Amino acid sequence: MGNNYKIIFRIEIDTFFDARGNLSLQKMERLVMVCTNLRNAGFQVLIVSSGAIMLGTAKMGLSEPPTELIAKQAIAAIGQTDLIRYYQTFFDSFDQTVAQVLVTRDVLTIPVRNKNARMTLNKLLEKGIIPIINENDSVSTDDIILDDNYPLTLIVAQLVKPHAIITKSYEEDRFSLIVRNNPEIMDVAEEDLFQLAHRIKSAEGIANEINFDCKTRKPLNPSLSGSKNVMAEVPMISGFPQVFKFSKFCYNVTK
Amino acid sequence: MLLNNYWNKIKSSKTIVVKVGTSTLSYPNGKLNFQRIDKLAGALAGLQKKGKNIILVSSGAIAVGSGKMGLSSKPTDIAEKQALAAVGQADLMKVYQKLFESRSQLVAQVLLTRDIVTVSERRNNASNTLDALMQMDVIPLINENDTVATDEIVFGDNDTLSAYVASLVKADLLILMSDIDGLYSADPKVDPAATIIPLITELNGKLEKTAKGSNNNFGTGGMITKISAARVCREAGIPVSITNGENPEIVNEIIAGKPTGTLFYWSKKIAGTQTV
Repeated sequence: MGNNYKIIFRIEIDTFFDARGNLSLQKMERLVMVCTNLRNAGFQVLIVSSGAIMLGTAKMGLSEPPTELIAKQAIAAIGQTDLIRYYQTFFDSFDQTVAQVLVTRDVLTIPVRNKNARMTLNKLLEKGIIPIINENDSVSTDDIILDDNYPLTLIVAQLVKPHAIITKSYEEDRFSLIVRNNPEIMDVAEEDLFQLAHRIKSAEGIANEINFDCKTRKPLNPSLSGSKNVMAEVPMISGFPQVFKFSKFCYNVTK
Repeated sequence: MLLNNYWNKIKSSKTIVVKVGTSTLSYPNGKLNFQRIDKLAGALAGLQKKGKNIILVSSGAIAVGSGKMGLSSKPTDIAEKQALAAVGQADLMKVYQKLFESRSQLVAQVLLTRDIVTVSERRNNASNTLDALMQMDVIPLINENDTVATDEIVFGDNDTLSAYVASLVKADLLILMSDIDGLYSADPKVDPAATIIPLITELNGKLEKTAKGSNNNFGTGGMITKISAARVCREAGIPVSITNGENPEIVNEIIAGKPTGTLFYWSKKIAGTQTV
């Protein structure tokens, strides 16, 4: 059913926090179940997850994350152990093996790193393991300030060439889905994720026909972009929009 | 100077890097030896409570990954090794975290690559993070970031990495836990007259020849990498203790200044040189 299609699941940890600001393990477990279910359906699944800083902040009893870079890096090193432990514990309960992969931005620029990262990720996928990827914050200063893991998601996309990127939304059981070469964000319900293979397949059919106006960055054929299309104006990287702002404050943008 | 006098100086060590190898942490089938890791965590948490700054450099990710995936032998393919390291590192951290936190000791994971030696930005970031963690009374757990670094994994033993980490944090002592009691004068399996060298104050060719000739019989890590680690520490003037990790609580005796295994103690810091 999944045809070995590759999917990146992008998770921002604050989607797991409840209204009172507490981490909801139920929400996290639910998502782990969805990922495992997609894996069981034959998709290859990778997770790009933030959360190290937030969990480290909670662990150290701080009311909010430090702003200073060095303190942030230290907090990230503390929180990453919790983050991976939660994921691992939940995935174990669904009999799904996971692996931790920490990358720095130079995986794109240093050839040997690039090759190693690609080889490792593909080997993990081949074995049916779900890699859980985060930035190696303790040695890298690149994106730690941004508090946004979409840039990292695109780095991973350039390494593994996924067919789709799924982002967990703040709304219960809703996800946003971007299929490669199809500059449309689809707001889908959990059960619709399993129509993914069909969507990918139909997108593949039209992928080559999409031509962008190099000035306006809009598709030349407007019929390909529905009313939900909000990403057509932005440049693409590896078939995915270069920018994807998605926060609880502008969630409705995709509707 | 008497052996005891050298060991007396070890007592005042404040920042201590401890390196444990796969053979200490796991059974030959790759499954973890929980009792031993528990003792290690207990001893290190205890030292931290006494005001020491402990940094743990731990191998074992590939062995744990192999055990988890049910492989009976160690993989030889590099991509396979890296994949298993990514699986095993997550497991290993979970175990460490559990055992340290049961003693109210926080830990943090720091994965490093060799560029902490060569790239100044990486070096500064790593050094800043480690310093900040020590100030927060958190024990950093360090391993190589195998996923992106093949050069290390092939030559890789964490002996050298731990020596660079010791230089980076200006440690007062590096403890290398191995599966033998110390550095022998000859291969003890071949030469029954072989004895442990209790003190080494300078590196010379003879020592390296002894280590090289007996590499395969001297435990899994081999003595060559221990000598390389000692060379890095020599430039930074950091003493190195080689000891058997069979009973990890031996770190308490080392810190108490009780002569144990082999001690490298440099007569003077080499002026003008800096390793990291």
